Amino acid sequence: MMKNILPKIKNRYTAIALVSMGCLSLINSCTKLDETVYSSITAESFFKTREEVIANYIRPFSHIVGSYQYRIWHLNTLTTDETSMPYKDGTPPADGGDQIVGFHWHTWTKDDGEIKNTWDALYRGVGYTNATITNMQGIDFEKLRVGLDKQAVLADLKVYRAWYYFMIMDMFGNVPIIEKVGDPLYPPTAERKDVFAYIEKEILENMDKLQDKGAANTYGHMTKAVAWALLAKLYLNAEIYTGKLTESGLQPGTSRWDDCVKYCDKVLNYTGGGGYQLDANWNDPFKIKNELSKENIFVVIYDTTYATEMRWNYKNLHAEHQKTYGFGFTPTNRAMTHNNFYKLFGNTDKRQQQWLVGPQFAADGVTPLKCLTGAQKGKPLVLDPLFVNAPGDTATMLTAKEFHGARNVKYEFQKGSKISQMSNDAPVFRLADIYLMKAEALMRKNGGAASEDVVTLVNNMRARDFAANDPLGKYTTSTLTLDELLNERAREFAWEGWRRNDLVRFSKFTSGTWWDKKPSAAWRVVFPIPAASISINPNLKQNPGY
Amino acid sequence: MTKKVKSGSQRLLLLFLILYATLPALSQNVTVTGKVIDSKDNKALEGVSIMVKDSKTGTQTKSDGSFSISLPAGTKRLVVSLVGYESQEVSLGSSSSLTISMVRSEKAIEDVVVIGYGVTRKTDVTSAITSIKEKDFNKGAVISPMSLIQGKVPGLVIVNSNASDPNGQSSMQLRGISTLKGSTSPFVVIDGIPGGNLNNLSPEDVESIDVLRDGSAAAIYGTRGSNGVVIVTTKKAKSGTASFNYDGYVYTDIPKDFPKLLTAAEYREYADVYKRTNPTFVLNDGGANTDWFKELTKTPVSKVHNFSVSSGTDKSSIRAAVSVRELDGLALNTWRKIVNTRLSFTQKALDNKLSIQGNIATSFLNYLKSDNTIFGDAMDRNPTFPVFNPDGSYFEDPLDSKGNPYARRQQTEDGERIKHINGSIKATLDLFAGLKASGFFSFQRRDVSSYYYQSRDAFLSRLNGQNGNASRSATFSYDRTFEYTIDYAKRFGKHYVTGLAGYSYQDFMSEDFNASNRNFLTDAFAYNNLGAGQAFAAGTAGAGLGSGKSSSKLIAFFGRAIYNYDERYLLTASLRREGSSKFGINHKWGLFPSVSLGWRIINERFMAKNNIFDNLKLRVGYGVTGNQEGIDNYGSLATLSTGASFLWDNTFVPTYGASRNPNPDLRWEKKAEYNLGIDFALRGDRVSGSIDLYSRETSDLLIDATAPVPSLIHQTILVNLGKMKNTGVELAMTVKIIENNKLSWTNSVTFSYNKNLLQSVTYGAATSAPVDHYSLPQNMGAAFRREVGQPIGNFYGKVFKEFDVPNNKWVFYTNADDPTLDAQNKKIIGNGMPKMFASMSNNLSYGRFDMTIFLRGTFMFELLNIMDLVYTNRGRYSNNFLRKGLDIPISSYAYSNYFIERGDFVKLDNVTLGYNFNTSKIKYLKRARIYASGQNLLTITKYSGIDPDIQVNGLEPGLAMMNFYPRATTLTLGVSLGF
Repeated sequence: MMKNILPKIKNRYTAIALVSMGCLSLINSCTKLDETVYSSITAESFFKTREEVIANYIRPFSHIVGSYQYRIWHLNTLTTDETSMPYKDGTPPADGGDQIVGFHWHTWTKDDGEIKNTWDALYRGVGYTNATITNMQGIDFEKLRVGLDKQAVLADLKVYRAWYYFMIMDMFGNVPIIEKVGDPLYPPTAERKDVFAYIEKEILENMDKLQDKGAANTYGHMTKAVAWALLAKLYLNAEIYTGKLTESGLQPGTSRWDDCVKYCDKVLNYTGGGGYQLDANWNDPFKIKNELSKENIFVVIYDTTYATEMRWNYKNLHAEHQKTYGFGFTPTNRAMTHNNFYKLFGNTDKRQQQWLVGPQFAADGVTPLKCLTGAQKGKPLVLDPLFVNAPGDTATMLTAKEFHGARNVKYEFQKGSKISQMSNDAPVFRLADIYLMKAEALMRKNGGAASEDVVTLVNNMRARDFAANDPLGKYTTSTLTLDELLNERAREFAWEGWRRNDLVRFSKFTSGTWWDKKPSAAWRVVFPIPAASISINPNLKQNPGY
Repeated sequence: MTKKVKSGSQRLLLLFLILYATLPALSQNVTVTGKVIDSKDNKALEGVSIMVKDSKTGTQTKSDGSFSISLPAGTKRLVVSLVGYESQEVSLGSSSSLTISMVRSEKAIEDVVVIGYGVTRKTDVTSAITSIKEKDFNKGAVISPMSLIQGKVPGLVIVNSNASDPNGQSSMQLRGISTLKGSTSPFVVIDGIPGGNLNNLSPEDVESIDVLRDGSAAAIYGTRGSNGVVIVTTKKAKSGTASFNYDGYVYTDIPKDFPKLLTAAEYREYADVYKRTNPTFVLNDGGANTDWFKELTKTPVSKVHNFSVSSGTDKSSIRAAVSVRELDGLALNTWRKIVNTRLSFTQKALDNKLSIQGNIATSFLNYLKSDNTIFGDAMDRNPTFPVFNPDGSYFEDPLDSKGNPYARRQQTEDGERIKHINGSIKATLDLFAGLKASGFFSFQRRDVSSYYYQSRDAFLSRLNGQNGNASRSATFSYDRTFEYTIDYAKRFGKHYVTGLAGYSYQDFMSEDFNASNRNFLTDAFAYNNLGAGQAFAAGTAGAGLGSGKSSSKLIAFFGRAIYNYDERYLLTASLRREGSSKFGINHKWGLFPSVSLGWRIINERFMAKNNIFDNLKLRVGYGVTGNQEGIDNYGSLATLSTGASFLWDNTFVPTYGASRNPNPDLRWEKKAEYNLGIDFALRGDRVSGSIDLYSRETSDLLIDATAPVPSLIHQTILVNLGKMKNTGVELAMTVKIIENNKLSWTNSVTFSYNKNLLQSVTYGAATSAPVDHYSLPQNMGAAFRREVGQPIGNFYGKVFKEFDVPNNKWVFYTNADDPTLDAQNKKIIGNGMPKMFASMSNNLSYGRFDMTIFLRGTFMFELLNIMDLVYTNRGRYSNNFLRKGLDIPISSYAYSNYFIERGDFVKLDNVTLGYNFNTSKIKYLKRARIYASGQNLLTITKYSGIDPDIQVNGLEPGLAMMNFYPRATTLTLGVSLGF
């Protein structure tokens, strides 16, 4: 009996063994679900070389390109008297339609998609910076022979992040502070004064580790002078930022005029890398090759191929201007400026040249450009900064026509350039601003009155804009009032995205009227936290009034 | 593989019978001995069940076919049965030694149902499974294997939205939609190869298609079972046969119902009307009378040839098949050429204890892609324009923006060549008493090579200064499967248990490469010399290079037990533990259990005297399945990708940062489904069918949710959230209306009703706001609104009131007129997802003639006629517009319920008439049949558009598109020969 069974058992176990071996041949991967990446990369497969480290280090710096001259600019400019994007001959403005009109009227809501997109763009920048800071902290710069000072890299990133928080806090007031991606997933709102303190602390802690002007790879990065300029701007607005946002408006906080002056002076007296000087001409900071400017302290870098969201060649000009500038595309005729603002520019002020008004001509200077739509179709294109040419005109944001408004050509255009492909960099901080910030701080400290020193400071800044013998070019202690300083800021920084910041500081943002904008609720000094963001993150608190 | 398992189940049956035979008999008065043989070759049959009628006494034959049985007193008849043979009753005469000859059953395969990783007796099934055999397949010209069962499986919706397009793909959806992101298509298993590709399979090679409809059946397929499972079994050689078969057919498509545009004459006439509102208009009369649809179509002739040889002995069998298909489309320059080969073999060894079954199949495919936009452009084409200039060149109008669609089709070559090969091998070893072990390996590899060239002279190429536009691309995908299973079957008295345990490993890899270039000096190179174009070197638009590679894997452990007590109470339970590399680190593995119960009421004692039912079974099942199709490879990982470049050392260099918000919790969509079913047969099996009720709830729906920014970087994150529910009822019934020697008529109907509801979509603190989707042309906004508390497929828009002719405006009702309208004066104005489907097949035979008539209907849904929405606008004049537009007195675009219509239809889908020749006197011919078939013969509907039988699967159902492939009636002539 046993004899019969044994071989059978042997066969059975042989069979089982054979089958099991089939599995054993795969045993290494029998239960492992690891992922092998090929045309994707993960942090584990990256950061092996100097080039890879640098590629991640500079990632946050290119993020801003898409929004700085777009939505960030929209929220800070289209909400002011500086520029509007009205309906044109019945066609709603692109980039947000009626929301864009609402910016002008100060009727934006917490549901506005454009505000949400701006919020997201800014916090995404914070996110990229947070991620890079975490990555850089974990990298051994020595081992990978990165050849950079790790502390300087981290300081650059942290001050860069502080600039993002500066913009976010300026626009949105009470906002969350987050330093690590996803940690916590739902960060709570911080009071604006705490965000102010956080930004101040971040800059003060890191500014000495930053590089000097002119060091390798500092253009478009945070250098010592950029940190000081940012601090000066922060302190200039300290009264606003440390104040309390309420339904009845802003209750001012503590002013920091001396600190503002202190950091302005640090920039003005700076000699690192040759220091900064005012450029010879008002428009030198905006030339195609404005990287050569001696005045620009911090810029957002644009390029015709690699950083192409500089939009001024198509947004602002009339379709027919293609013939003037020889563009390789048709401009879209969106943004325009009302006479309220245009009239601030005197005829002898060279800065008036940044506006196109009156009859328009092709590149030959003779062939008149023509209107293309509606009743005016075929007539010569005569740009009218409402309502200079036709005093009886009643055009509103909804009924404006193609020829309405002055057009800004502050940034030099490249002949034959393609749509939104400009290589002019966008100045964020330039020396002229340091001059005027210092002047303003000193005046405010002095009860609003300008001293001789302040008058000299401002006159020096604008000397390049007037003929030497032009009396209009020279302020006196009696003509340089705070209101006049605000007007001077309008002339100097038109289209640079500072108008909302300035109007808020001068308490004219909500109470002011321009074109068909009426006084708005005082709590509109900040934008709402997007409702959609709050609905995901209940730890966010809505600003008063919204 | 299936063949193998089938023979395995024969063994189970054998074992079952051995055990049965050893049960103590009541009395042993008479002993009868005998032998059972095959009626054809007189070979001894082993394992034949010999049962005393109306009792539980029985035995089974030995390997030499012999048996011996002790009969209780008074026994008059024996019941003799064997899987694969017709059962028969044998009267006991005086002789105590019998020779019983058994006839092979054509119906043999019907006795078993293919379930995941095996087969089971139909009577043991406790889930909702539909098994369609070859004889019930749709007839006529069949492009995709799934068309074989279109309308045949209750709850399975198969749509060929491109109708007779030879390159058209059918889409499938079972029991409604249960995902917001993943595929809706059931998981396909072909001869055991999980994730098999139906496009490489000749319909003629398919023997049966089994559809696992409910969750308890599909749960054994774990993370891929949620959409149901379609198991395709190909033909194998039968043992003891040698045959050669030829099946061939030719078919043509006859177009019907082109959109009715203004004819050239009407077009010229309308100029006067148009001038009233556009006084400066000057008719651009090209002088011709062109029917653009006629010009863009042809009368195609398609040819399909299938050859197969098969031969088999007890020990080995082999089948080889070749299919050559030259499919020609109705549309200009649209064709598809396919050569498929398939080889399958079975070899037994070790005294039949080891069985090896293998398959290898290749598919070579070459086709020119269909381009439906030419038909959209034909709608827009001035009918007075000629196709050609007098000199034979293409007529183009300088003011045009789209160009001559005929010319474009001729000047563009856009196709693919595909090589597909798959193979599998399975070894099964009988270990001992009911225990079997199997190892299975399969692979699939697919090479796709695409080519595209648009000539320098093409209108758009000239307009955009492309100077010729060429591209090539190659994709390669490869997947492997290793599976090991152990099967067990044993009977203990009235308890019969089968068990299965297994391990499955599958990996997937795909890579691709593409290149494109423009600005060629000559057309002579076409797409064959990409380097000759200048655009790439110049860095201008339209030139580029790309490549990629990714991989993933799936690993699973699974088991199943089936328990049968006394042929009355049935229990099936299965469990799969499966993990995918794509899942987040916190959820790599999931558990997918199922349990189902069956009660064969018919076998209860109290039913013994019933003379209504021949079968009555109650089934109830619950199963959990998953869907992971919505997750891309590496979808949960923090990957890096290039961002905008930035300055470094005075040049712009690429930057790298996070490419997505990683989600370590990313996992499968989870579906839990209840199913309650009844199988019945009455009146001597003349009426049989089943009814199923189900409720399936999908949770953890995958969706690209709005992410919290801050703290995350990207604005969306792929997360599992939300719940969706489908409930429904399904019916399948077959009635043998007439059945006699001369005439038979069988009528089968299927019916299904499904109700869909999106229950919740919540992420963070937020319930997602309604999502409006599918952007309509001409800036008319979104067609659909998806919101919680509503079904998928809701059309959301305004409600038409009247025309304001003086202001050329649509006037819609406002919420002041109608409080059901919301603040935007919109509401739900229809739903594109049909709630009800029904079909009816009639199989008739009279003498040597046979006939099938198949009707299919879709009910309870609305269609948005986008073609009308756009092309009825008389403002398009100067191009052309639909004649229907003459009823709309304005020329402005607006989306409203004006263009929403009920889509309900019934279609006479197929009529086939065949004749079987008497071949008994022809020496070498075993069988000969000819047939003629007509498809898409008649549509009964109130819908005013071309054809309401459009895409209703997926998240955007019920859109009648602007660019459509012309509908056709297909006529087929075929012959089928067996040698």
